[in-house]
Amino acid sequence: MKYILFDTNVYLALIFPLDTWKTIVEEPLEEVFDLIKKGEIKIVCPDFVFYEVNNRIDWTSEKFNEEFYQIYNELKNLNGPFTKNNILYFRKVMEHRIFTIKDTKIRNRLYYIESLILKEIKENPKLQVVDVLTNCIELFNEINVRLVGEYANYNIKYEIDKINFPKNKENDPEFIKILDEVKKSVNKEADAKIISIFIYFIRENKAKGIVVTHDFEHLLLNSIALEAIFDDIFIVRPGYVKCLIN
Amino acid sequence: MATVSSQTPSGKGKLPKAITSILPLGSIFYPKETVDFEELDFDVEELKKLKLEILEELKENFHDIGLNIFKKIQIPPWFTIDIVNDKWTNMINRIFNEAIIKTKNSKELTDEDRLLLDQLKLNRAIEIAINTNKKTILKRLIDNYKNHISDSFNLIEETLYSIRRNYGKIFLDSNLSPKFMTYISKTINVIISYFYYLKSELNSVLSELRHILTGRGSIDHFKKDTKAIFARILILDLKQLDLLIKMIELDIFMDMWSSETVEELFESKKIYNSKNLDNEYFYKILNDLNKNSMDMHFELIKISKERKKDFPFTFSNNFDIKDQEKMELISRIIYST
Repeated sequence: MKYILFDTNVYLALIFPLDTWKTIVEEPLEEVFDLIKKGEIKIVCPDFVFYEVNNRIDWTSEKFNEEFYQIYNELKNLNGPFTKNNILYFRKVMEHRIFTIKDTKIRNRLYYIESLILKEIKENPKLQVVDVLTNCIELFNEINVRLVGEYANYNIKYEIDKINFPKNKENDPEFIKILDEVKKSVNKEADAKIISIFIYFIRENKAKGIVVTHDFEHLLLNSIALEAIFDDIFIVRPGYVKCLIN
Repeated sequence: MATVSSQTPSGKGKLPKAITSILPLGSIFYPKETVDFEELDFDVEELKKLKLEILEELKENFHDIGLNIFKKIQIPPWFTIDIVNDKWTNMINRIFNEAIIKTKNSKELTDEDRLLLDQLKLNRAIEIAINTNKKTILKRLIDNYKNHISDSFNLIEETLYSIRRNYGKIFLDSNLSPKFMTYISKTINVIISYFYYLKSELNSVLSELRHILTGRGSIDHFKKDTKAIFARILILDLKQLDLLIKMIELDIFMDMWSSETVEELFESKKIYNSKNLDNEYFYKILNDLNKNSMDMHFELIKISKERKKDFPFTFSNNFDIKDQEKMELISRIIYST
């Protein structure tokens, strides 16, 4: 039996619509689908990754809600529907907000939020300003939290099992030893912990494992060094999975 | 039993339609005597009797839920627990007594009554079919009931959307923590997912019943299957109940800390006091709500895995195609966050 571990960013690429990595991480999954069904390989996921993915969904939602509230606050006193005057005021508010932001990513996000509001205005021209904005915040949150379900469906389709790693195992000298070694090559605390849990798990099961990630900076650049210490794992980009299974 | 809270901000002061519509759903899975009727045909008076029993039970339950919450939450110093208890008791009495009087005085069946009636008839017909092997009545009722399932779940979904919408307004008007909107959306989402799951189980039961009618299935098999379904539902129903009680706790806490006088207590509010609510206990309730919704979510994943079915209510399997353009915009917002 071979075990595969997906890094949090692989799951995020799978579930987040329009993620540039989506097709790249979907491909190896499809390639090994038959082997999963035959029980020759197993995808596992530590609780920690599970919570990281869900926390990221929450965080995305909270950022949006915070930002959207600021826009709402500047528009809530507009009476009636989005008449031409109200639309011009809305444009002014958005332009001012975008003007004050220097970060391109946040600017882009504000453009998309503006487009979403405009779309809602055009679809419901008679709706009161506050109702249009309420629709938008409701729709965003609905779609964003459905990502939790998307993640669940990947778990069901690929029969992904959670690695049970209770808190007390963190004090196991064997785990501490692995973690200390991993930390020498992996700076990010969360990544080091995920990889250490996986190594501990595959050693317990006397198996071999593959860590799949597209994080160059924290993981892939150190993969060769880590594999030299831990010869029971590979740390690879998604495209290598099929090649290393056989 | 599956219920939707009437004490969420949207439902304050009235009983949502969904309450009376979804209450009896659980009993279909494992036929048991709901009321002691000898005949399959129920008349208006008999139905009224059942509805009144349901309302009385709900009244008592809601009253107790409130009193238990007051015992454990932090009450604002300007109120005493006796004042809060009295006001709660009065409000519950007023809401439910109005509903009870309305039910007593009603002369005709409403749509929800018809749904309830069909559910009762089906329960009864299953029992008769099981005990006597008479299948003709069952066939007609299965067809009727199939149509009602869809209406019933639409009604529940609408109610939940309207609750979420009201919470959305409260969030925007009251400047609450962004966590509030996120966790409320997650909670409503998982409850809707649960109802999608329930609908899917109901449809399995109906298919099984059809097998009996065509002679391809056996009553023993049906009994075994429905027993397994009922066991699955029971676990989720209890989790849903925890979630609803937590939502009521959140609602009560927000209400109390935003009411300056007894007169305002438990009365409909458009704006909540964000300064008073920026405290540890408020965030504790929000975190508990999130934890409970995730618990239920994981249980649904587990059950979906066992049944080898998709997790219900994701946008890939349940999203209106006409909203694709908005979906793309939202995807871009998510991606740029």
